[in-house]
Amino acid sequence: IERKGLRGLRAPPGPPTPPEQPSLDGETASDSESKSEFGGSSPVPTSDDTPEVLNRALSNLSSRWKNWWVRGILTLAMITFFFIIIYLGPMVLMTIVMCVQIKCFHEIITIGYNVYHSYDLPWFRTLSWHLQLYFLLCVNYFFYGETVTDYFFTLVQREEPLRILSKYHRFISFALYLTGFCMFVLSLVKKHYRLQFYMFGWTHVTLLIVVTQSHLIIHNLFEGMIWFIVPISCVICNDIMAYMFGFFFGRTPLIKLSPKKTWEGFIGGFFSTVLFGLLVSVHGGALERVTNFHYYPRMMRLEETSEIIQSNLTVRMYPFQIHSIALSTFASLIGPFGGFFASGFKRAFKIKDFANTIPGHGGIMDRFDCQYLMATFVNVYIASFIRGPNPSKLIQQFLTLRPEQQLHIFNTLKAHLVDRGVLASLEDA
Amino acid sequence: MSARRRRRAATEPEEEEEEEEEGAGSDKEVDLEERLHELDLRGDSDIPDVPPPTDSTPEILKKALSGLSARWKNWWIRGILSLAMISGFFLIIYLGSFMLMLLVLSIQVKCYHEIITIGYRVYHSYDLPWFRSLSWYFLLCVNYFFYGETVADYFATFVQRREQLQFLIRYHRFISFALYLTGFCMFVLSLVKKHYRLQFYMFAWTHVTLLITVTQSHLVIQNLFEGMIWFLVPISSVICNDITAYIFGFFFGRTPLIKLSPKKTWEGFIGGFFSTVVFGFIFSYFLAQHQYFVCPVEYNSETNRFVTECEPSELFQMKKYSVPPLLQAVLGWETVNMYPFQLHSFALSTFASLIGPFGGFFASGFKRAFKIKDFADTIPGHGGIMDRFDCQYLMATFVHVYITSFIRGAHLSTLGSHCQQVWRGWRPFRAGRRCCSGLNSMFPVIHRPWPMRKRTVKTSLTRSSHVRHWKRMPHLQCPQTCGKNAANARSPKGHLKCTVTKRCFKGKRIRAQQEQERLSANCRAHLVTWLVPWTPRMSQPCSQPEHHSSEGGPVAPDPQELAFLPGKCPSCQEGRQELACCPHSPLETVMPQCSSRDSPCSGGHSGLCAGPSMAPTTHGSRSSTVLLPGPGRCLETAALSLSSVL
Repeated sequence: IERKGLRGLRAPPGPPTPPEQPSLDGETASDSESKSEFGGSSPVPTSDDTPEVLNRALSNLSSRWKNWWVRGILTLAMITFFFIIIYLGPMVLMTIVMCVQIKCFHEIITIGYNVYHSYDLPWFRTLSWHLQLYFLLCVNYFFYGETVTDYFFTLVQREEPLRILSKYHRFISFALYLTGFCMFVLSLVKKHYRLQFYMFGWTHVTLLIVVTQSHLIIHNLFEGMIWFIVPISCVICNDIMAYMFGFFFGRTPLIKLSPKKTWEGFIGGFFSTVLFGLLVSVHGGALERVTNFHYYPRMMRLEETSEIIQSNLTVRMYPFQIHSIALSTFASLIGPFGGFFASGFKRAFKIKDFANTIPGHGGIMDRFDCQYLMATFVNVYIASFIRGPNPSKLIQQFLTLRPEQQLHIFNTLKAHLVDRGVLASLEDA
Repeated sequence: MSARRRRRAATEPEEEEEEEEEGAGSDKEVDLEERLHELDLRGDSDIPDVPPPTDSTPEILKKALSGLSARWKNWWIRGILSLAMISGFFLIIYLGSFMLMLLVLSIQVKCYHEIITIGYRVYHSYDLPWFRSLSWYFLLCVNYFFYGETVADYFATFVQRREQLQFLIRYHRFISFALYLTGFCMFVLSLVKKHYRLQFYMFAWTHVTLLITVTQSHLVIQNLFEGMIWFLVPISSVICNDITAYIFGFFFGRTPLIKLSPKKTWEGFIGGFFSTVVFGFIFSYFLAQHQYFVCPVEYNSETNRFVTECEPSELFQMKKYSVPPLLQAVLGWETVNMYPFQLHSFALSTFASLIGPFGGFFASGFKRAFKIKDFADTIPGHGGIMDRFDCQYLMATFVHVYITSFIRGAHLSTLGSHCQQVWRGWRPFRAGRRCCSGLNSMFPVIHRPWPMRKRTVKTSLTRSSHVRHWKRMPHLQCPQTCGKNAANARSPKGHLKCTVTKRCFKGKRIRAQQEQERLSANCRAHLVTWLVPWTPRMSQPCSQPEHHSSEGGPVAPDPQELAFLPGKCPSCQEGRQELACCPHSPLETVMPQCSSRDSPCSGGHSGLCAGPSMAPTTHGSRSSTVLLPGPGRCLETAALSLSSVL
């Protein structure tokens, strides 16, 4: 087997796969697993989706290079698309995140169905498919509602119905979830108990992974675009660079789980990602300006340049660049574990890709498996090392308090300021 | 009620089957998976996957009950053990909230253990590499995360005093994420080719279990901190519903309720509902009378204990309600006196009896799916711990959501945490000084402003108590300097006074140098705390800021101002000492510092954090007015200040 590269996520699709062949690389195909009970019923291998134009243009290349070109072109297309989205602003970004999340959920759940052979039970499938969707809806309602209450505070305060919704938000979402739960219990059918519980567990783990993570991504987005763009582009860069390094220099295999990943790709990816992170965050300011993200102007603090003095050598840089090193290190060292996890998952259920949405890349989930770990990391990182509260948000919240509470806070705050000497002059005057 | 416990005993004779072929070799997994899927497709086959638990009824009980039929035997065993459990529960309640927290923790761990064990058995996965340790490791991580959050929230003052803890709290999320990530990476690395699928199954199993047990028990603890009553009423409602539904079903049960657990009947369901509502109503009436149950549980860092004393919030104060006309005709009353909480108890017990059982159905469906009778055989007659707590878990979430939505006011709760963030941002880690981090401990006030500490409302201090009070606060005695009035200083009495004062000041200064760091951490909270008793008497804040030099350098107040002040400052009414208000900061405008006329303001307290002088001077006495920082106090102050300003 040729080791092509450490392309983060899935075994590269290679030449268009004949649809019937359970597409595992030779290694797995030969082991005992593959002749398991899954003969016909395991998920249908992805069919080739490569556009005709590309197919024709690349017809005279070897399959290795063909794959390289297909991938390269589609990667470029996706990156361009990503930039356009960024340009369009945060609302569109949020929508995209949500779409991606729903698509990922769909892909994973579909795999679950395939695995449990529940295609032959049509009534069951529709019923529980509705239920899964309903759970997805509830959890999304909950998380998006929290976001809206947090960040669109003024809007919420102005609109009476929205205010009621946000006031009882948790209750409403709990009631919604509970309805789903009760429906699940009531829909339990004697013959399929275990299957249904499997699907329940499957749904919930998927929800845990997909929805909460995408919620975190949106949170990061609200912390400032840069917290969204830099991590995501770091992961993408790491994927690409690792693939390239692996493609050209790859010799030593890295992990059994995905035999195509190499140490060379891993290390090369690491260094180039750190470099990339440093470079990108210089332009963080520019990005910030392009995307008029007016909800949350707190990047300012991080953009003030600071000077790092190191053995008589003075470097001027944004403090954010230091953080970017942490981010890119995580993206390139720990991030791939998300990929390993995903590829282990795919092996476990004997599928090659999660779906065949993007030709040459597999499903959406294949592209985003590393991103999900990253989102949590960024969120935690912000909460631990960066987080200052958002002043405008705080003020808005103060304004909703009762007058005496407001006065109390005012007094305490003033006292505190006087104590620190900020207000001393005013006092004396 | 949970008649489901025994249903298998009645319905199916248990067949035991040797289900595990150890060392089946390389194609074992394939084998097992095939079997699993066969099972799935066949639906309910009658091969028990898990060996049924053995009967662990104590010998004595067995002997005593040997003459009874199986049905009644079960009834007696259950009854006796229920009683034992309930009395154990009461004992733990008596022991206090810390024991309750421990109980919740241990129950959670046990439930986790039971479910995970089932998972192991179902997947025959005893030989998965590392998996047992990994799943316990995950449990540890998640618990570390949740308990850490609790500690950060409720033990703020305790945490503040310890440097290492502060570090842990500040980077809490990061640390727990790193821990979890370690587990995650270990999982990925431990993936073995043969067992991929099994390992992923177990991973999912672990996580769903964590989701169910750990987060729920975290919510239970959160409810506990809101006040013991929020913990006791829901739990006992569920228990009561279980018991009464069982009893009603036992005696009157005819119509089956749901296929999932054939022993449950509509009669039991309905009877359970009504008796639970009545029970909740009465039970909450009794609980609402005691502060021990009503007040939010708070950790007092001075006494190292949990404090449950407060002025009960509105929810727990008798109110007159007019009876709706329809009921008026029936009852003949026009108004009813009751606690508002009793109305909430309706909601709680309705949920406990109508929706709560769905948790039980879910659990029993789960047990059917995996062909087990009980989760374990920990409690004879009842099954495992999980069997007892299946309904509780739904309940915990409900109570939590109920409190946040209807009791607490949505914004206020989030604001609390945001405020804490503000203060955290200002904290010594950034600023390099620790002064005023006591604000952190003050801010739960906004978090939960309802109940007010009882002792703070004590407005009329008797003279003796007042003096005692002063003795505990040297900084209030110190201002009686000798420097100003020479004649005073020469007289023996004056001399003595002078020495005392000097010593006092000296002590103050030394302590100021030594302990400023440590003591000022709590100063704000205490400042607010000890000043509160004065505020009610103040009709107007002292308007003119006074300039004063550093410590001990008094400046005479404007006589006009003094003339204006008597009657405004508290001690002026004592007659002997004329007091002046020396406002220098807004907070003190609300709560003025007072000193005697001969030696007016001592100054030195230029800010709120004046250092040691503001520090608590008594220790460990919960009786003192000084040391009961608690929620509500500051708000009370604010309210008073508002009224005085207007």
